[in-house]
Amino acid sequence: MLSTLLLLLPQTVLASLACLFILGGTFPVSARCWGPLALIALALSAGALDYTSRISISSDALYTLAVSRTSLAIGFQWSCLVIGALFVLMSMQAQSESKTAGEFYGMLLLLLSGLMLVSAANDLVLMFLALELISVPTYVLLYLGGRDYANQEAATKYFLLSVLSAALLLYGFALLYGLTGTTQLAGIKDVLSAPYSAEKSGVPHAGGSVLGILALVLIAAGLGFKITAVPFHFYAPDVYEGTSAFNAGLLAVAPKAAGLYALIRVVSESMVGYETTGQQLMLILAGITMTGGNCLALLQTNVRRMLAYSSIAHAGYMLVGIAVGFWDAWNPVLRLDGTDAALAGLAIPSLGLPGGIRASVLYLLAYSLANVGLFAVLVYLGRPGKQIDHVDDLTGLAKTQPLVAVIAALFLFSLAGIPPLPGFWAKLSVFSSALSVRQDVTDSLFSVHPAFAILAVVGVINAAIGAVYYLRLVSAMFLNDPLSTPRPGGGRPALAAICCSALLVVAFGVLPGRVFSYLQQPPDQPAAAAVSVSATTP
Amino acid sequence: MAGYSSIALFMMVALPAAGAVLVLLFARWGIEQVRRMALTTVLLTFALSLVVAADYDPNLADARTGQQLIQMQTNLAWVGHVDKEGKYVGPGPDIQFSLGVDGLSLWLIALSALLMIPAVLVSWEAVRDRPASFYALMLLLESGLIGVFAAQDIILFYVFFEFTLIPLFFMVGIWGGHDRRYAARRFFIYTLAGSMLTFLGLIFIVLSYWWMSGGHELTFSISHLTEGISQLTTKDRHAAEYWNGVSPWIFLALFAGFAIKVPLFPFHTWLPLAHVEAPTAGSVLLAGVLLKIGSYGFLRFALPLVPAGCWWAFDFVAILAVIGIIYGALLALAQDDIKKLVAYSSVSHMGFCLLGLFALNAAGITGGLLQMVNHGLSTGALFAIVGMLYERYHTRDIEAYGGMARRFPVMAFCLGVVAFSSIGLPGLNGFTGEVLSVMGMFANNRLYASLGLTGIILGAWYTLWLVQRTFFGRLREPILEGHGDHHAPGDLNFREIAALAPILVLIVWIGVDPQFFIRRMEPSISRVVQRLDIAKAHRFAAAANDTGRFTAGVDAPSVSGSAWDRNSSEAPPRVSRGSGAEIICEAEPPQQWVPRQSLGTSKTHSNQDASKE
Repeated sequence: MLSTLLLLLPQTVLASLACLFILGGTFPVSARCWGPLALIALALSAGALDYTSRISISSDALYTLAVSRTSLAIGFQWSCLVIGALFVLMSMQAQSESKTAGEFYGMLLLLLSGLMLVSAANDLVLMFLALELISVPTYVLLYLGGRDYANQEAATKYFLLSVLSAALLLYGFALLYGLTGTTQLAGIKDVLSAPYSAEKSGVPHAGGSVLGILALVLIAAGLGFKITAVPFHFYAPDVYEGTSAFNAGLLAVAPKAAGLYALIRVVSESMVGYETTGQQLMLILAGITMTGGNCLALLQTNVRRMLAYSSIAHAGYMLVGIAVGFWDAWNPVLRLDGTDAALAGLAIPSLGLPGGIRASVLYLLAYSLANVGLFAVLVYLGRPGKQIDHVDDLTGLAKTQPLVAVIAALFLFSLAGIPPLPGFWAKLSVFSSALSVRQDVTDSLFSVHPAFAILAVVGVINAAIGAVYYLRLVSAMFLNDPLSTPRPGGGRPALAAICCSALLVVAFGVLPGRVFSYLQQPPDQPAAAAVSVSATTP
Repeated sequence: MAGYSSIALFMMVALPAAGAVLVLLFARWGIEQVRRMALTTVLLTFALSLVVAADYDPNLADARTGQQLIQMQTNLAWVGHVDKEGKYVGPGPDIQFSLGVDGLSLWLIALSALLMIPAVLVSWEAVRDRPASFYALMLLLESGLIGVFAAQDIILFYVFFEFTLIPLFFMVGIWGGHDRRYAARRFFIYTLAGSMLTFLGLIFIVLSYWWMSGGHELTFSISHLTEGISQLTTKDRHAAEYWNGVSPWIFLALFAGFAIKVPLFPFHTWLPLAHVEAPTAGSVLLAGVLLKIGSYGFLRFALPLVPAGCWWAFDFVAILAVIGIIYGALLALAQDDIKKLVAYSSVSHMGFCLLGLFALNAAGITGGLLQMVNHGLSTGALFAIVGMLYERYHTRDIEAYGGMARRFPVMAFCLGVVAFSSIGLPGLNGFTGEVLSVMGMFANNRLYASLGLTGIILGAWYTLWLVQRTFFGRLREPILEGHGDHHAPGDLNFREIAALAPILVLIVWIGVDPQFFIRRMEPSISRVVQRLDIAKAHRFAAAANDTGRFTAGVDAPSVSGSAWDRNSSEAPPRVSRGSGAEIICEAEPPQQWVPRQSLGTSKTHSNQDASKE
């Protein structure tokens, strides 16, 4: 029990400081101080994270705890803190004159602690709690954003659908509990894999029970809402369009990261025996999500709406990795490597390329960095009462704001997957993992799985479609003359956020080796060794 | 071995990029300094290319296996982790920053470095809007182009391949003509769409080799993949069966990107628009170098890696090439815009390159490769001259010109030489390339070759007609509107002559002494041909068996004229000066085909070994 609390120190620090922020918001303190205080809170949490990732706990103890500590989770939490700091910087100027700055940053910190909790949760209850810890502050932030009709509509829409998805998710979790009799993820995995432990024939399991399949579908639907997979995506464009650029950026990154990580933890890693069903589900979801998002983005003229559809499309690529992940667990070539890491389906060591799940985590990181930067650009260029709405608002940016335009183009090219930027490495990982799926694992003829080959082709065609609308933004910025002179209202902090994310994007793009090797670590490696890498990653 | 010349090759990629940064940093010094800095960078890079070309030894081969043809290697760990001795230890994929040169890429690297000189010089006066950005982009483009040809790592190749799109997109989109935005976007999307499929194909090649070798060999090195796959498929029956099965698919994936880049007939629609709208320097580089990336991709990846796929697609590609030759030429005949005419002539000429490459024999490939260089020179020069004319009169309408030779005798002379080179007059460069390509194809399929020949006639027609209409006959000058000073435009000045002179020298040099150039390509080409011949023999054997099953391994049939002994002095395509008549007639004595050394020995030949040697 004690060690559970100890391991949750970073999240606890952040959440309790958030409560202090909310309390402090009622006192007449200058609104200016909340932004820097939020940065300090993040730094404290980072210190706590550094500490908890060093303390030694035996792997047996870790197994029974409600909290897990893998190198992947630690990397995820570091990324959360860095991206959280970028969001704080982004909003500093706008909040410096707001009456609700204390509440605003309190909610932001609470949301970040929820995000970090998702990666630590080793239990269905804690996982659900963590996901709600992200959702609830998001509702408040959406309401704090503004009082006009569009904003109210966006907030209400998000609230209602989010509650619906939480219900679906909870139902799925409940079914899973009913099936296995435990809420612990490791326990669920053990119970579900018990029938198969005798025969390790290397053939993916064909079935599982109806109850389990129902749980799988409900969980996928609930989390699909968070990552905006296509049938559950329809709220996203309206909400992004109605709310502020900052909130849209937050929505594009935080729920998506949480949903993807929860999907990996609950479905890919724990639900042994449902690989075939899960794979089929994710294959279809991935295909329609990519295609739907990209095709609809082509029609948009509102920048935030376009980016909403773009974020939907990117969710599709991440789902490709998840779909591959189901297969990786039964990959005989991975079994040849003999390591547990390979058996867990998390990495293809001899290939040196990430396996399906790691590929989608890599994709998530690349996507988040570029998107945070891009929304920071929108925040920076907008001012109160005059946001960047239409694509035409960006026209001729290269002449009026050359630095910002070049950096924005960098982010857009990264999202389009042009080398050597993070988006390219992400696409390389995802597509290579998809092409490494073999049709019949016992077949000596190495034939690639046709469904995954088709998915990869759909993926690259989608990448080209995506380039069309990213390029439309680039050409608006660079190839046209300015219609008006923008007066950026984001101030220096937002500019700093833009530059920081640009640096991160360039560093990741030019020297991807560190990210790749971090993702290659086996999941249960003692974290002390991992720290040396992770400490330098951000 | 890894001496100054490999540093020179590395510098050829690094120097222009550094120059681009410098140009941007010192942008405030003004246009004078900026363009001088750009010119210096370009000239230095060209000097380095001379070092590389002089130091390239075509007969250098690995003493043990006779295989290693990649020279001047630079291998730097990029994504994967290596220990202190440079051995890959993982984790992370073993993607290297690996550069090198062989016979396939040598002249294309030199061509890229050379064509940058006219590209900078023709922009000297033409680009006055934000010159620092323009020259910086151009230098970045040079880095990318040389990188594409020098890359010896499959991912690095793709990185450069895609990267070239970005500078060119901005060059066309910002400094282009009237319809520049649409042209730039279309060019970018069109090429990206194809190359993403190529990307899939390249990944699949790497993964397939990994599977076929039982999960032991994961390499991104192009030469290792080429060697390894050809050895595995000759040794291992399963691997061969598998590779033959997927070859068509891989070929189609590679084809998607490269055919658009070339561009082959139905995929050429982006080209006229981009060429016409681009600024002169952009057109010179697009036509001169960018298009070659496509045909180089075929030569580097499709032909040696998936020879079976190439034979499978032989008719398909050859017919498209022939259609491209004739259709491009007919379209060129119908144009009244000079730049459009030259753009469509590119479609036709690049058809010849592909016709040569897909003859899939030594003569044809030699011709195709030479034709790539030739087309780069002649079309690059044509675009430069058209740009010079445009700078004087601000119109590209053919009807508006007439009798220009009287006003600009030097320009007329240059245009004459370039036009004759373009139509393949014996004694100039175009002749050798076209004749070799068509002869190579003739050995395989007479119909396609004969149809391709009509393209030469049509080419002479539209080119000479253009020269006649604009430079001869009654003097007819376009009205200069909106220009206060009405003094008549002068002939080529020193800067413009300097821009064209190196091209003219090479046009004559290649025409007079093609053997000098071919000798350096030969060994590399013969290795490609060797693989193609093996695949062809298997194909025929499979057809003869009529079982549809592929026979591989030691029971492979003897292949006549396949494995040229590289150590013997008798190298395959002998071209005597000025004519190519006897090339295909020199048949090699039939040899019993022997499988190569097993993979086990070649594994010891890792990259770092090669670089030390």
